[in-house]
Amino acid sequence: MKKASVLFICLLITLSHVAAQVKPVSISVDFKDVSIQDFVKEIESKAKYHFYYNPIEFDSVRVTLSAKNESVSAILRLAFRNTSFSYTIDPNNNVFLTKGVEILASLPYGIFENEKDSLSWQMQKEPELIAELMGTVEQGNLSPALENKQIQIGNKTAQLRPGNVTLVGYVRDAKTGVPEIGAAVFVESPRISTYTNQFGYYTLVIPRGPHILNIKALGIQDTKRNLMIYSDGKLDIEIQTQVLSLREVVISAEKSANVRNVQMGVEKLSISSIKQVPVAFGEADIVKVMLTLPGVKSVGEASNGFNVRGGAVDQNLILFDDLTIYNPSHFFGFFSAFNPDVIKDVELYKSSIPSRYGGRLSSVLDVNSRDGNTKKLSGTAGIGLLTGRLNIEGPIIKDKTSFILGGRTTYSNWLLKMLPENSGYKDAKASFSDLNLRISHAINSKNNLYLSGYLSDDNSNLGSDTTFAYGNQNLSMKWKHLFSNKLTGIFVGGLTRYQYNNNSIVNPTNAYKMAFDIRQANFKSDFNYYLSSKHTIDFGISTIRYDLNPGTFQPLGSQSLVKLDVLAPEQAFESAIYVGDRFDLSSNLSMDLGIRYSMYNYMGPQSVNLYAPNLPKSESNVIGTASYKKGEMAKTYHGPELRMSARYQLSEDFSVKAGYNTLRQYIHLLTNTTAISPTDIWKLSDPNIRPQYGDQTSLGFYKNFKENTIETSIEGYFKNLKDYLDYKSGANLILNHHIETDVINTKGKAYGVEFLVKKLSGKLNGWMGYTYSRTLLKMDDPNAGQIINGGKYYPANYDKPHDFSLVANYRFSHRFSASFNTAYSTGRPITVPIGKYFYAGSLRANYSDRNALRAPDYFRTDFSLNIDGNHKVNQRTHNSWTLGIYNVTGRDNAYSTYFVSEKGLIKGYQLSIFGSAIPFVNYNIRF
Amino acid sequence: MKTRTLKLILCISVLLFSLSCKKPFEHDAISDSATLLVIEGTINQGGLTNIMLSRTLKLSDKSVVQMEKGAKVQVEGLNNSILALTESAAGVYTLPATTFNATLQYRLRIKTIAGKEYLSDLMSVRTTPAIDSLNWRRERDGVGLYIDAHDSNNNTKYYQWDYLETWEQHSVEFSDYVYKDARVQSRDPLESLKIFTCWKNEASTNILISSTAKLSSDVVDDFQLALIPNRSERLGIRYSILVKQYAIGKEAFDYLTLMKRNSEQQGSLFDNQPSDIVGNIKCISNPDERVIGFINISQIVEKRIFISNNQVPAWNFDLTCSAIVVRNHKDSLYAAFVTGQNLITTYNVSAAGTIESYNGNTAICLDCRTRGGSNVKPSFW
Repeated sequence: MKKASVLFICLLITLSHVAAQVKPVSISVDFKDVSIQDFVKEIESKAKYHFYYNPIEFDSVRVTLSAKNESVSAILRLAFRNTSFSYTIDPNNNVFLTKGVEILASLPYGIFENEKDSLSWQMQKEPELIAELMGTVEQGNLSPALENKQIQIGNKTAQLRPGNVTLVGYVRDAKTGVPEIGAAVFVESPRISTYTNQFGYYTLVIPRGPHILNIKALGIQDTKRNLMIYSDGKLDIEIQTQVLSLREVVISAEKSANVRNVQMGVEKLSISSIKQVPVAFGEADIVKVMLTLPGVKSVGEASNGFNVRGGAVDQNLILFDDLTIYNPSHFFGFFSAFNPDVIKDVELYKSSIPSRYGGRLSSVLDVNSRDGNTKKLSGTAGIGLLTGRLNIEGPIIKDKTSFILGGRTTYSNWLLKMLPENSGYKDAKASFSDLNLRISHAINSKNNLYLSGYLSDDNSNLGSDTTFAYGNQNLSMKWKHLFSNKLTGIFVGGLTRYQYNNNSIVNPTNAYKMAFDIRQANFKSDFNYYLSSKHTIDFGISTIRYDLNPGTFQPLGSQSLVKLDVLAPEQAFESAIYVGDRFDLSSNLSMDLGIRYSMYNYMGPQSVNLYAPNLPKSESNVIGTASYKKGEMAKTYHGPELRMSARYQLSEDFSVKAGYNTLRQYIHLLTNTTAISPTDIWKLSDPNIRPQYGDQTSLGFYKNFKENTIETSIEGYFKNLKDYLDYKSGANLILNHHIETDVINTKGKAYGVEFLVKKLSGKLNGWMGYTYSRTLLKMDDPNAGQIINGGKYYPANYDKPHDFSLVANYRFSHRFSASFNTAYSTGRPITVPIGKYFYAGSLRANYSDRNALRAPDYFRTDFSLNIDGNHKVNQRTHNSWTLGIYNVTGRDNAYSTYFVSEKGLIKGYQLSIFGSAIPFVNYNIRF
Repeated sequence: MKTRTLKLILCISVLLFSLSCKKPFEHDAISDSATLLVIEGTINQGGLTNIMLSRTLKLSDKSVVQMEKGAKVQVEGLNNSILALTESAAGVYTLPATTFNATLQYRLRIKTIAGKEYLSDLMSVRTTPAIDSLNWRRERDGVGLYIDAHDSNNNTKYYQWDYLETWEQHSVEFSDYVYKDARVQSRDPLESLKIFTCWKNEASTNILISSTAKLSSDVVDDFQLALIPNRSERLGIRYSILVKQYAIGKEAFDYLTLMKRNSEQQGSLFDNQPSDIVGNIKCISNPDERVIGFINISQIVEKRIFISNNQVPAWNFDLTCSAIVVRNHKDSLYAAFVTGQNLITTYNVSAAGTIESYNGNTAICLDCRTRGGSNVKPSFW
């Protein structure tokens, strides 16, 4: 690619095209290590040329050359060949010597209308230059005129008054109209900066007067505006994406955000960096990429969800366009439920959770979908070994309303049906699909509407007689309103439903269908008030209504004798109000203090068992039931949640941050399997089941190197969990009419230190993380009836003390790159037999304390190649290939170990999900 | 071209779905766990009661079971009646057929030779409904055995079964000669018969339980007890299965469900954590000591069926035999038959009329006792 250079147009000639073609003069010269002054003097003395140059720029130049009977231009070419210096000769024999930039002494042919259809126009060798001059530049630099032109903001006054004014506006992509989120907008002196919010909107309070406004962000061309500000005003900025930019692979939105942001433990990944990481089956997978970040783990490959800093899977709030996703996986956890082609970016908060979020203890995963292209209809399609995707986007009303519609499905079902009879998977079924729709509408400059819909559906059966089906359904409406330049409000209303059902029809007498569903209606409003350049206030309210059907068990078919069993529906409200202030105490010390007050109401109609106090909650200790009528509150839990973080900047690229968070969680996932299974159900807190409570203290150091291109950080944390739910041995979690008798409140503690190095740009980029962490649980409630491991701390299923991951991408050229991913971790804790006994005709295992031993260590390496088709802008379609191998070394990592009695004897096995190297290929097309 | 692509896709998808693989796993066993008492059995209403006492073993232990001998075992009624069991075999304690008072509660007391005392919870006497039918069906993978039962009073709800299989075994040929004292001799015809026909027994090794609590009526329909795999020896000649049915309580059902889950139902993607619950027997001299097992008092109901080889056409049971021909020479005969790995069937005569060679076969094909059977015909056969 051409070196980016600023082009100066020099209109030294008259436009009337002076045609006095003079035959060039030939001269002979012989220079030996001469300065520029001597060089110029010699030529000026021999030919009728006049030189213009800046002596300071040329003071280091030494020229050595000899030429006989050559034109001046040939001599100049020889002299400045392979240097950064350029020369230009105009028709009047003026020579302009420049460094770095080239002066254009004449307009290229074709700039005028009457020249366009001539042959010379078509032969034109510099179409880019023409396009630029004509203002039809497609990509690359914005017309320099726009950057240099002074823009006047506000009412021009003769005399500039002192004081600050507010400048607001949108930063949008000039081509697609998509708002640019997290772009840095700043002026240099005095140094005042802000970032665009999730709508690409920025607010900046700066002194009146002349300013250079800089705009920088991931994947865009840095740009600036020359402003003269008289009073409050609005400036929308259109930016050019760097289509071929190397910085597209940058994983942080802002170059020095990790050092400057007050928040800690925030990971933001753009979809382009997610797409680079090789995963099994080659389908870009948000959740799998999250697992490469320090502090994020999972029990194993076939596991729904993930664990953040020692938290359980249900302690992650997964938001997709502001609405909760209850099950983020397809097909038993092998695929994530998010279609990579409609995702814009993903943010994971694992430490400082902003006060606008609540309801889960461990983390918030905020997944945002893209706005559709507002300028033209386009789309993408992709096909992999097991899945196919299609997305279409485009304007409904140009520049105002756009849509994006994406769908994904698997055809593995079809493939499974083709399998031979004896393969063992003939009867297996694996189908899943998801569908996304987003409509964005700009009503006017102050009001925007967004409609988002999401559907996912799973229907699988791994050769067993039970079919598992589950799905998410989300619909949200968001209205963003600018009350003033300083106050922004966002109002979101939405409906969420998650349901699963499984059924079995093998035995007609016992044929059943079991179903569970949870519905959630929520409303929230978030406000952002830009008080001053030192204070930004966030505040808002939210409320969620839950309607949960804990389970129905019903006959399937006329022969079935199954008795209808329906658990009473549950309903509750979860509401919260919050306020937070981000402020700068000094230029070095910034704080973000937030408080959230949450309240939870468990509502009637409901009847609740009452248990004798200080006795184990068991059926024999029920002393009565309390009934609540519709609309009556059965139980209220409430309390404050603190969200505090502070940053002290030691130098421009080094800072230290600390944070303290408390959180409450009112909804629980009931699971007693090692890995979260798709049949696990959710339970609302009720008078007998208390909400979970957690707090986290963290401290981190952040240092950037090499002009913020290398980010490093060390974060340590300590976490306490209270009233986390664990289960009694043999607990029956499904269709249990008194689940409180089977649960045990557990305490937990988690601590760890995370190291992360990220390289943001260059041909080689990626990140490397290492975590040492422990997650320990303790069950010593004397009223539980039984205690696990003698009431001592024991490791949680996902406690993997050492965890290392490396994600690297090397870009050989713009069309060809290679990605490499390696992961190592300590094996997960396992419970193993320590003895055996003979019972019911067979030897059976007598088990150790829970999680007393560990499975073998985990190690995996993946490799992929990304090959893009050519990058010509004007072709009909753009295509790309991804090929790779998952688990290159073919190591059979133990997903689980288990011991079974077979033919009277105990046999130990380890189960591997991916016991060999798996090749994959994906083909993508963009149109 | 098209078919080749399809084949490739198929191969890849087979690969993908057969990825999950299992291989043997051994761990550094935690040693030195205390041995626990294991109690198994049902106090039989109106029949012979057998209670088995054994001990847990270390994982590395070679023996299968270590019986607990010399214990004092008795059934106590709430009316202060005491019925003592006697040790009929090592660790097996027996009570002759007794009729228990269905309105009373009973418990089991055990005093081990080491002086530790164990006591069960109080148990009511359960009535077990009859077995409605015991059925078999030819299926793709073999012959499935199914049971139907019901309780018209809707009282039983929780069922347990175990079974004893018996089948007849035949050698492939009669062995009329025997190599003895360094020469081939005629075999006693009666002995020839005795090693030709045997009967083998095997008890069930899985926990077989079912609940009808979720059904509108107390009906067990077509519960699969066993599967005789295709070509199995069991149906080579004739086969019989004796099924015992027990009515158990909810607690016993939960206990056995968990035991089954821990020992038979592991290895799926979403396993339950192995864990233990307490049965209905406690160590009263050391309350912290865990006791394994669940004792019931109920009627034991039995049913037997027979299946003959001719009822399962093309069963194709085949012993892997290798017939040999051994020259009638001292050294050859010695080499072939002295270890007893091969037995002799017939001889071959040369043109001159002398015994040229002997025909033999592997012992497993000629002496049915080597296949684990007994040549004593069961009384019910």
